[in-house]
Amino acid sequence: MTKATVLLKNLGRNKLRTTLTVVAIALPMLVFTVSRSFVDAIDEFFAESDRNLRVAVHQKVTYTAPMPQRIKDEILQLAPPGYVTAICRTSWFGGHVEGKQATFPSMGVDRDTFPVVYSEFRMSPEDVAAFQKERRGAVIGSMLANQQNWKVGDRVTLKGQLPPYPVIEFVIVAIPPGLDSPWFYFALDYYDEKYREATGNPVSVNNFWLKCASPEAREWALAEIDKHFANTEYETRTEMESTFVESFVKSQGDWVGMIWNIGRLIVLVAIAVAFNTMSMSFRERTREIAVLRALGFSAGRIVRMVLAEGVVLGLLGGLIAVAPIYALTTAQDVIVPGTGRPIKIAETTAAGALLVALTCGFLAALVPAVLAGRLKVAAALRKVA
Amino acid sequence: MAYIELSGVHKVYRKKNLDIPVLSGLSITLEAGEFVALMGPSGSGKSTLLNLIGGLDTPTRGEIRVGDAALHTMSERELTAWRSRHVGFIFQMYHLLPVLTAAQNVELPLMLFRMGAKERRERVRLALSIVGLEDRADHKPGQLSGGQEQRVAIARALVTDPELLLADEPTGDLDAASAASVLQLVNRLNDEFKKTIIMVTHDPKAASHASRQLHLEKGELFADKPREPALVAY
Repeated sequence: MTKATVLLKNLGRNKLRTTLTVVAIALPMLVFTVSRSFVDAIDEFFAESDRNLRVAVHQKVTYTAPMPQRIKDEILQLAPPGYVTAICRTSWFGGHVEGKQATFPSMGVDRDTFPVVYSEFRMSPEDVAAFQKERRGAVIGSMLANQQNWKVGDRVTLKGQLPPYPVIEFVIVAIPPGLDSPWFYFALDYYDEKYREATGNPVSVNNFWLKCASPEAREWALAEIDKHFANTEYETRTEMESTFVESFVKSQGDWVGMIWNIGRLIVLVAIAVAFNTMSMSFRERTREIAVLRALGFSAGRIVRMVLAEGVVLGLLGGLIAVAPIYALTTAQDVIVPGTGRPIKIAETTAAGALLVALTCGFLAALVPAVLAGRLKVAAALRKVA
Repeated sequence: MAYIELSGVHKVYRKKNLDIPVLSGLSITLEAGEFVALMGPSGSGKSTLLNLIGGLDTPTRGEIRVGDAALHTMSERELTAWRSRHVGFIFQMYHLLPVLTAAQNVELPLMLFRMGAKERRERVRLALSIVGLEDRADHKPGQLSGGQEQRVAIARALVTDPELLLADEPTGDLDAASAASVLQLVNRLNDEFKKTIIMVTHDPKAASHASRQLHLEKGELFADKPREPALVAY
């Protein structure tokens, strides 16, 4: 018989309680793991955005407010020669396949400048040519293609998310290698045409994405465009893509901060629950601990024994929290809203969750362990004799 | 030479600012290999005396020597280590760990010794064979009768081969037949294995198995007399 045998036998004496304690530790670790991974995905997204020279221009009040298409020309006239490589207008469509609940991000874009402004999508010359040629053309991310089982050449009909909820047929012309998100881009002029048919008005634009030629050009854009449009009907806010995406993500609800706060609270609850369980277990075993002490088990050995139980409970909770979500996110992509990025459980996050779980178990067992170590043997035996 | 020597031992418990004297200047000498019954009414200090001799508690005043050890001078850590090597405890309620088998319960004290698995198994087997429960090695306490549980507890007390066995009402929770069986076993441990045994009991019939009877009353030694064979009834 080993120490591990005794430990496992003790943990197995009340299986329901042990299971509930493990679950109580596992749940907050799951929240911790997921929220940490969300934050990682967003940070990665921001970091990548920072690398490029793209800035967004949108209405000062909010990035969802409509702006006239002509703003593009005004910005091009305003910019010093060579400062702005291209401007791509975007107009939110937010469609979904009719008859299906799941939505995915979709928007109309300028066909001519889209490949330049979003050069990281790495559209091939054939892809660019196909997009230019086919007015119903759509460029989609590989993740969306996999989810919907779509391929180049497929015709898909989407229903818009905004009034007048147009139903438009598209033809998939490209799934570029650098676009691994679930986005669906299509020709703005085609959208405009359908919009005009339905409403008699041109479709409005939400954002103007500028591809600046240099960091200096980017600084110019950030400083001058908003000044130019100040006190006009369409006051603008020009910002780095990272700032824009951050605002966009936060507009979906500050769920990152919320998850963190809830996670912290739940960790405290887990420690409290585990502490209560360990304390109950200790109280129930006071007699046995007194007997072990009488047999010659030292206080230190008893303390280590109780602490080991807590640590093993924590480890089990950590493994139950991390292993399934790790397997799930490895097997399939789970997208972080607003970023198009899948959650990946980093090894450091998994290790961190395990460490926090172990610490929870350790802390929960600490007081019962110290009490067990300080037990007055004769008094404890008298009480239960 | 005396194996156990108590000299002027006082024990006072303190409860809610109130001093409760339990032993008052007790002086006793026991030889190695004696089987002593400690008797007396409830509250007379029997169990307290047993705990002091077993190093589970320390005297408020006075000296206690067991073999070469001066228990009254030892720290708790030293007492713990000493207990593991020199004393075997037998409790009224057996106090076996319910999640372990009989063999595992007996093996528990051996976890404190550096010992190979083979030697451990052999010692456990031997201890269980002495108490006649070799065939119950894999049974858990819940699957044993009260008498069998107490015999497992005795095997646990024996397995480290201590010189001193301390039994606190070992038959107090048993029926007559089981009590007789346990007392015969205790007698055998004294006669055959030369263990020094101190047994607390209220039962004169159980006490009659001992070679010497010490009667305590109000924390003092009231009577010290040899066995009265006529009273042996089990």
